[in-house]
Amino acid sequence: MPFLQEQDAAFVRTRFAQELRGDVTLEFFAPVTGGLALPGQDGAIAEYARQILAEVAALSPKIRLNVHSLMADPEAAKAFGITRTPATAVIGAQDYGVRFYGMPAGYEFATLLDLIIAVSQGSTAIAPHTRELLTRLSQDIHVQVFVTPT
Amino acid sequence: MRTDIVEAGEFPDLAERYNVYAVPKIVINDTVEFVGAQPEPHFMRYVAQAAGVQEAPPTDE
Repeated sequence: MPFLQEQDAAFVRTRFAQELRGDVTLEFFAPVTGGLALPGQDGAIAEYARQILAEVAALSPKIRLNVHSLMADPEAAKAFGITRTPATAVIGAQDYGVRFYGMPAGYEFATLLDLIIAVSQGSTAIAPHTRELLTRLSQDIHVQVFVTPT
Repeated sequence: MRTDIVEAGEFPDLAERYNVYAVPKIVINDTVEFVGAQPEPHFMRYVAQAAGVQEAPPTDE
């Protein structure tokens, strides 16, 4: 059964058509791939996350989904800084460093859509003061945002 | 700057390590943390704090 109802899919398709600019690649990392699923809940969640991303990617020619296995493709995982699964790196014209860990469902589905659009546009509406402060940062900043789907 | 959005329920070890009892919970460089969506200038104050940068007072845009 698809994750998106036809009505929701139509809404997202229209939004993507209006707001996407550059191409976006969803680099998804599952524990395993190739039709094999890990037994238990972790494998089921990863497969469900992959299905959601596949349905989203099908809604715009500008979105591509690459599915990796953390175990089978450790080099790709290292390149994107992925150490846990399920994980999704949302990559536009450049890598803006944003990773989504877990299933992008519930309220977090809207987060995923906003993230794809922001990365595609390659710009955000941040204030000049914010931009100025960011230029003064000399050390790396690692932001973790903990969320739940409800 | 890198940002991880973490589904707390799927990564209970991280949720426990960072004492996530309410969401959204934001942790910056493992040192500065707060709960709830914040206006951008407030958010940046936390970033500055984590980076050890002297933060100029926000100006009216």
